[in-house]
Amino acid sequence: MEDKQIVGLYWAREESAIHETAVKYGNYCHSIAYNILQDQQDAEESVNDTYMDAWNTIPPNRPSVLSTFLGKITRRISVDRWRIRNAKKRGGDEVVLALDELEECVSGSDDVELRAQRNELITEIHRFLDSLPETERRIFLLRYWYLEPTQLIAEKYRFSQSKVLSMLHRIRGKLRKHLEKGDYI
Amino acid sequence: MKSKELLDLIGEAQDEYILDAKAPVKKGRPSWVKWVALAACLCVAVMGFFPLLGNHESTFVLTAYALSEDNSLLSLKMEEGQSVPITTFTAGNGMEGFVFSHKNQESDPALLGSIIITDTDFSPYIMADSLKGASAEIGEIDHIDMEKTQQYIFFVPSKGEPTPYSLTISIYDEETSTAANLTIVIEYDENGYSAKIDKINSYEIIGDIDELLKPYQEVLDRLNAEYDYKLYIPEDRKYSVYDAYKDLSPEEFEKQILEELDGSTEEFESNGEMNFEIIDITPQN
Repeated sequence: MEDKQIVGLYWAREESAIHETAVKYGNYCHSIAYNILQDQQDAEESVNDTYMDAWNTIPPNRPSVLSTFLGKITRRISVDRWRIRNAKKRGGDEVVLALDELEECVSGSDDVELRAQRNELITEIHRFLDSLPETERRIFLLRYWYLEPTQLIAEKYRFSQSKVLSMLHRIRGKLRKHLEKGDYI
Repeated sequence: MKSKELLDLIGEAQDEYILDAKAPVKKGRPSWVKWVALAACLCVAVMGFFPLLGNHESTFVLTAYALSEDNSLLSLKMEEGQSVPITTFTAGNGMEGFVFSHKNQESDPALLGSIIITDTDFSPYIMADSLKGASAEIGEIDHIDMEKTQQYIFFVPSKGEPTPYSLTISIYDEETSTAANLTIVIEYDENGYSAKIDKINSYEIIGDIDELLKPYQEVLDRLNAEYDYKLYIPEDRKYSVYDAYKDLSPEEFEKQILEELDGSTEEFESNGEMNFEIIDITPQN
């Protein structure tokens, strides 16, 4: 079924919208959640929560790209779930590693003012991604959007893992400079 | 700002970039090619890739399979640029995938009628086994009576991978000493899945590959000695390495390798192809 039709089902408040979403994007959402949580059950719960969130937000939303609309919800829910779980026990190590890596790009201080500038910061992230060459952008997002392990990225691109690590290091340097330039850190 | 906040902000990346990051990697050759092309190529004592001037595409007939609504099997000959409808099939072990086949040119009778399995992520479990082992692993494919004269490809899209899918099938024709890489694109729309051959690259195989690679191997040997690198060309990638570098002089090749190792972004972008072939196993500190 086409995305438009699925979105139409949500607007018509047809419960089959969820079934159709699961058929078409269940695996996609599950892979995002699993990368973050590294646990089947937690990933499934995040995907189910994604459907509920989509049900509650369409309408008023009418997403033009349903896959990433759902993917963003799954990612957000999964990272939140990881935070709650991680307060209790270890697990979901890719998030720990990614957060450690991203430390290089931030000041580490709690800046309330910045939170108020969230939209501005999102625009800055967009500009930064626009500025990256295609391969760097893809690898950056595989690591920090999809939270994929560097070994997996290396296999996908036929790079050595050390090459991926050094590329990511370089890209993070660029991101830090980009944020410094805008006085965000 | 804290790293958690930055992670959240990255979560708001542009939709097109999020999708693009998951698109199949187009550069380089998929490593499962070694299963097909190289198993076949290594049986023959001739080598080196040169693009053909003539048209040998007709040698490489590819068949796609689909089930009609009444579950009868349709086998459809594929032609470059023309879409044919396809459906998924279930294998004995429960895996679902698309099925293609081509005339088997394999010299080893033990490999006749065998199945190659691949997916867009080249999953290790698929890579790990031998041809016969992989075939045994998935069992028989529902609705398909495998013919000994055909080589079957069972393509399993990765979990969560959005369409279109892309895969490359390598076929070697012993009679004409010709190999071809056929790039197949699978799309999904309201009528279901369809597949088409997007591109055919065919090559005649002449000369000794080691001889052809010699100047490049010498460069690698020198770099290894000079900089204490451990660069090598894997046995099963010799043809594709040669194909990727044959237009470069050894000096240009050396320059690219060094830039590559140096991690120069701009060069990396323009010469990304080379990354896929030569392996760097230099220990990292």
